[in-house]
Amino acid sequence: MAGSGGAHLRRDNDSVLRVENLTVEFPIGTSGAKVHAVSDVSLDLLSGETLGVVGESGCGKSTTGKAIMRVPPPTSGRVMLEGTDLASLDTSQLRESRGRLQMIFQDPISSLNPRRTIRDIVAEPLVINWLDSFPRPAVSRWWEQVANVLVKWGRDRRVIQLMKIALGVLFFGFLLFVVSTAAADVDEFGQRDGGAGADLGRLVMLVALALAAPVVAAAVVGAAVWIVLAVLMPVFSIPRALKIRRARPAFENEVDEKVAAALEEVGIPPEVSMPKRPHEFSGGQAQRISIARALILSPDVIICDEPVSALDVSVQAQVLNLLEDLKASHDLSLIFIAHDLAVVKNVSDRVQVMYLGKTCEVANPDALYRAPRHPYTRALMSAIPVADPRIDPRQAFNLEGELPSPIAPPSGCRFRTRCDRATEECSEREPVLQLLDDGHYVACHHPLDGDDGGTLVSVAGSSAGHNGSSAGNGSGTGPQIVLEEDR
Amino acid sequence: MSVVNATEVTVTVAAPAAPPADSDDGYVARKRGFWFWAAAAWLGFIVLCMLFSQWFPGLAEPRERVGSPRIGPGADYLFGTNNSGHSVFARCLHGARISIGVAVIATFGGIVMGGTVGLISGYYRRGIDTTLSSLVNVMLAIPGLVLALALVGFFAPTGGFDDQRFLFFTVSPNTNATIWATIALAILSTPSISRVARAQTLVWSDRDFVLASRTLGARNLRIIIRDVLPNVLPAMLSFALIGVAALIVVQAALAFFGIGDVTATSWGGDINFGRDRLDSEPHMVFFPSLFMFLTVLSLNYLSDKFIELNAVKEAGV
Repeated sequence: MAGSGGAHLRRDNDSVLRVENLTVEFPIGTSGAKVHAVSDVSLDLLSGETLGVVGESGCGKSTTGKAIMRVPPPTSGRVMLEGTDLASLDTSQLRESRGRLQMIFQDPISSLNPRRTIRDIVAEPLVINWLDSFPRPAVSRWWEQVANVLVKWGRDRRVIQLMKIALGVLFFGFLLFVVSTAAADVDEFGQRDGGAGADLGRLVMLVALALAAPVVAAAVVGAAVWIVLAVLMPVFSIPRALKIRRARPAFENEVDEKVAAALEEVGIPPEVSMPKRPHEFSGGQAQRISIARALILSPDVIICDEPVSALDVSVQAQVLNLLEDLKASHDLSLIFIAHDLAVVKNVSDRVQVMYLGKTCEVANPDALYRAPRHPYTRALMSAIPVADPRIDPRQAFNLEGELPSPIAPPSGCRFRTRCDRATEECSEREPVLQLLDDGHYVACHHPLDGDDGGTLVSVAGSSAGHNGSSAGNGSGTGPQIVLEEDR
Repeated sequence: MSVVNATEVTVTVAAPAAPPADSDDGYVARKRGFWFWAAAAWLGFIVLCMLFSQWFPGLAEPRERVGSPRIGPGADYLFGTNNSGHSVFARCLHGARISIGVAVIATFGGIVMGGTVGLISGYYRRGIDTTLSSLVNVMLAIPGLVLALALVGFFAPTGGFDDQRFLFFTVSPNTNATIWATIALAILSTPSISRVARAQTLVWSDRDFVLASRTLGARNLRIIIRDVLPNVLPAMLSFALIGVAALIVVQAALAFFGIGDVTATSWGGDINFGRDRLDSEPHMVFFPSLFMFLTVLSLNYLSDKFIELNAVKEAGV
């Protein structure tokens, strides 16, 4: 599984959000090793649709959501919001577009600042937007640019390498100088002269200083400019601050109304709640407040990152119903990231299964849950508890072993290390998402038949036969497979 | 699609329960208690001395000869007189200005510098953190006394016997030396405060609400000031209060060693002047020490209480 490709992307152009070949990698120290959190994931979202993203912990589903929000920005890949590539926007345009793309987090309490009032928390997006509408003085922009350039240089590998070498050489020269001086005899004036050794040491130190000089000079000049700008900035900001101060009372009244309306909409009584702080609310109420904060700029897309998994089951239903209602009344499209399969089935129009940073299977929830075609999806589905005492949970497709390390993911199909259908081919060639039947995409060389259903007993009964027949011939498992070459 | 099956739970949310009765007087009184107010009262008295001792009616000048030297405490001279026949009581009250003033201003400087460094290195991490942290480590490695000696010795040559003024306040004969001693103490207190701020910032900037602010498009400066700082500040302040207590002692130690303005009226200086008569006339050391002891104790007690009262609940569940 662990497939790439974008065969499941719908070609019609009415997708609100379209993510192509999203890759997120986190470097580990300076060793050059990377955590491959998300590798080449594509997805799209039609207007009014809910896309469920499921997978076990560590499969990169949350990272995908955050990368779409650009916190942190993806390593590569395109995120198109209504046709505009978010990466191509400058910071102010990006800030504007954030209003159309919002996120709700897993831990409702942690996503609200404990020291701010509910009113301030919900108003924050409005305030940020409002403050942005006042142009900042040029000095502030320069200050920011100089800081960015300095940080960029400071993080540049070559600069760091150069400084390391220079320091090493300097130390070596110093050592040479000290040792040869100490080894020399005292002359008639009571002085020690290290002779050629000390001269060489001096020379080496000089070379080291010459190596470091441009970097040090640039850093000093940069820091000096930055400090001068930092001192000038408050002075040049005074007119803007005065303008903001004059406009604030009117704005605050407007904000109060909007916040009250947003809170009302999510079922939080505004009058009582606005002056309170987050700790005075339960988890479900706090999640409603998060939703109100996400809604207040009337976004087009909300990314829900496990919005209900930290909540009581009874409260989960309330929050899910609320999301459904809001989706209808606000024309929202949702990306619903969760590991609770039942929840995802209920809310989603389309489900994307992820494993170790890759997409396994994309389908509508009914088809996916009735007849999973990917071995990993089958294992996921069979992990859903069934309220039937005749079904023996020990016969479920339990996955053996642990999730492989995302630092060195398996070659080919990333699922092959835990897959009972894996063959040579799986380690050599990475499967690509391919269309099996109506809207059902699978990234697997040996997909399941699909007619054996998702129930525990029947799948368990027929799996032995599958292994035999599919080992030699991948295409024999499904008559409707549309084969796609790897890239 | 997506109707949540069998969970037609009506979305009703009860109004949040009434908060614990913070405003209830009995509740607050029980929480703060007698010693809180005793400590606060002592500090209030010390602040009064600091600001207004030079205008207290009937209070002797610190260098005014009120009687023969080394008279014991009694009805005539409340705390007795010192080696030069100055009133120990008056000097204790006047000494608050230098002792507390230097400590408080130095701590404030330490909070501003250390807090900025700590917030920046904790928030931005990576190279910025490495650079700033190593600078802080270098500062930690400098012996405090040597730094104070160097700064005061270099920038503030000795001299001056008449009290100089700053605004309305008489400070000390050599205000310059006092200012540089304060700057040295501020630099000395910076690294430890910066470490506290950095550690707290590391914790708080990992929270989801910081991420949420970033997804809303808030600038880093706004996130640091609005989201991180309010959560870091309590820890920093309560640490700084202990720092004030420590700096009063350090200022006394500096005066004791003759760094800064030796002729200034401060508790540490008086302890120094009286110490060679400790066996026969202990009152010259005892009363300034008592003032220092009570002040440090009150500050420590209040800072503990401050932590206790400001421990915000993070979650109600």
